[in-house]
Amino acid sequence: MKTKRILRAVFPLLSVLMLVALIFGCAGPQATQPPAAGGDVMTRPPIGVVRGFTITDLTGPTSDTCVLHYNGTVDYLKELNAAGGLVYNDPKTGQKERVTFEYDFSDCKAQAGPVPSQYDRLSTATPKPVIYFAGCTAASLTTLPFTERDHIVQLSGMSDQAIWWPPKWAFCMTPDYAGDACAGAHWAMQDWKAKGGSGTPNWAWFTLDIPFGRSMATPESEAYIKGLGFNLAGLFTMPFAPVDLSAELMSMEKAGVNYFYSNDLPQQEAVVMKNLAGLGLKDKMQAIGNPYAIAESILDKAGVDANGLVGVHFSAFPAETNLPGIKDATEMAARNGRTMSTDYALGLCVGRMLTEPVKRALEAKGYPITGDDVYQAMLDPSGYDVSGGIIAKVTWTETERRGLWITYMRGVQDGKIVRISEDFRIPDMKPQQ
Amino acid sequence: MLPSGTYNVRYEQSMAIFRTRAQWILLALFLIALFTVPLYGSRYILSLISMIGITIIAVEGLGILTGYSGQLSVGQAAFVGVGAYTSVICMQRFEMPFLLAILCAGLASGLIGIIFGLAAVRIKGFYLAMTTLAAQFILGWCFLHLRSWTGGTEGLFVKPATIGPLVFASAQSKYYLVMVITVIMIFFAKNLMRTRLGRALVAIRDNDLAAEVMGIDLLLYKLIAFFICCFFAGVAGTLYAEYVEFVNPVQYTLEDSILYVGMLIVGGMGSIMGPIFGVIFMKLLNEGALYLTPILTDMVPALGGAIFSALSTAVYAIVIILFLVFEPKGINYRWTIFKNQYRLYPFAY
Repeated sequence: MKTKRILRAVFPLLSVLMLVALIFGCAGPQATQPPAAGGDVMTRPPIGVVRGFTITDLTGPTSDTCVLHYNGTVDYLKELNAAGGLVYNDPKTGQKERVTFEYDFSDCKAQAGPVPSQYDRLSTATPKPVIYFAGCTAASLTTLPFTERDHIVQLSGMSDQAIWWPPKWAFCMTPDYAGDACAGAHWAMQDWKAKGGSGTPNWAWFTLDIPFGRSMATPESEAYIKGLGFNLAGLFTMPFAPVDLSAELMSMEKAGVNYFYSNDLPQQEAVVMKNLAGLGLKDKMQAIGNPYAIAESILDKAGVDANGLVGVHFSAFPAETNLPGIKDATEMAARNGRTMSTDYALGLCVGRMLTEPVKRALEAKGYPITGDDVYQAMLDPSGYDVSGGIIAKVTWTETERRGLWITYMRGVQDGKIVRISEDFRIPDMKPQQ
Repeated sequence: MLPSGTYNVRYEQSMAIFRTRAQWILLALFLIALFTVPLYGSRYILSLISMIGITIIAVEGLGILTGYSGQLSVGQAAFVGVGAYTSVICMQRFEMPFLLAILCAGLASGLIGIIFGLAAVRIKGFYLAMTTLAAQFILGWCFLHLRSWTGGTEGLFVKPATIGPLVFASAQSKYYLVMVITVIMIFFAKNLMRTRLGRALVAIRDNDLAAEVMGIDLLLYKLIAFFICCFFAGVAGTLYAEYVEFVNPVQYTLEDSILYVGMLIVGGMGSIMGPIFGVIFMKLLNEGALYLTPILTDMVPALGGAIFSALSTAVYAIVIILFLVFEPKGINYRWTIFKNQYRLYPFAY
């Protein structure tokens, strides 16, 4: 009797649940191709929507830089859609068509914890996203298996080794942390010799004590730096919001450090430079920053103490308005009430790198497209030279997911960031097999 | 408190967790609802609930250490990491089956927890928190630098768990795996606290001197508390690694450890339901804030996404502050009052 009573209670519930499952489990609206219509492409409605998304750090410890990238990308996409969207030649309809590019975002605060849920929310939107920009290391790393599973192309900025090796569904636009550090060491050794330095100079890492910061110090990068003729003096760490780094810098002085490379952001690098000046160590130790550290905001944050900082960078200067990409970014910043900066211009690059493979996939297959189509477009052997000179041409292959190999050195002189070296190739820091 | 008009007449009744037919029915309905979510829930919903389940296990362990035995730990995320790495190494390097690997992960985390817990014999409160903070940094250093085992900054990719012919590769199957283990761990925690061990831990929390006078071995029980706390963390770490299919040091940070303590405080310490409420509340609040941010940004595009992300974070923080000011005993206390009110009906509480 008791069993019957329980079954009587459970069966209606199960029936309701099954009904709900049937209703909600049915496939959602699919991106289908509407019938072709003649006339000018701009007067006809868009053939459909292509979706992308980003997970980035908008309010966390690396937001200093990520927000600028995000603003550049969103402004570019907003203007693109306002101008009618992505216009392309559709092989299915045999005429020009256009699609709008929807771009969703979520703020992971540079933490891995919230990323899986955020990714699952954004990646299951309708129509299914085909491309995604991982704006911070936590998002890039955590979603590597997911993007491969879901066949959604992942575009990454600066990257950890795991993001580009072994090859997955992630494509890195800019150099990797370890490679950049080694580029800095390459310049440092030339500088040491040019200054007539004798003996073995000492090299140190000075970094945020997180995986992003430490990721430059790999066995490969350490072997490369030793191979250049440096003695490795050690790895010194700093907190996210340092108030004073004098103790660390004095320890470095005690260890005889001649050059140190910082993997941090302007807010920390400003403290490094202020303390370095305060201790009178600028002539003894050369600070070398990563591309984030030697951004324009270091001039405001460190003031005159920023003078003397050098850094590795791969992007054109905001003042180079003779370059089409920089000109576009400058005008876009003005239209949207933003301050033009290198990182804002890089945001424009991200926007173009998100949409150009989509356009190529649309032209190859016609609407609708999938992540697989965009993946194939990413491997286009002709590469991507869409940034108008902001960064060099980007090319990916089946086995190489680092798109950019060119860098140069910047330096802060008389309160301005200037180029202090010619372009040179970034050392290859592929992990030992 | 029993519902009005319900009496215990046997010892078994008195000891039962679910004492009335209504409670059994509610439990059955809850479990049916929980295990039928994959039939109608989107992958986002499954992911969210799975993450909540995994976090509940980690915070439940912390609740046993902090809420029941009064030992503060701010290194729980590092122990979650130990579990994640151990399970992956066990499965991929030693080809252990998943169930054995999850056990090894729990044991490894527990044993490392004991090492850091040894300090609890001499120190307590904030001083003990500092030693567990050291665990966070030391273990984080190990994750990065024991590269041949952990993969260093590159991390390790994880193959889907298998139990016999069952392969947990899809979001649905992973959901079931997480939910089954979460339910088992909550049941284990609930029962553990009703044993002599549980009562001893509470005695130590309330007055360790008095507990020692009563014959409770402080060293042994404090270390057991650390072991159990870290065992839970190890299990949570295994599930997290399986769910995300990737382990990397970036996943086990100090912020996560502090967030776990926050969840415990909001939910209410010294109960099994407290961590559950805390995790659900904090996770949903966070998701709500994240969900609203793009909507608000679309409404006022001139302000940009970063402003609204910051606002949502501020709202998140304000809600927690208000909560702590107006209900410092946690959500569980409010739930207990609510239960007592309806159980006493028709009498006034």
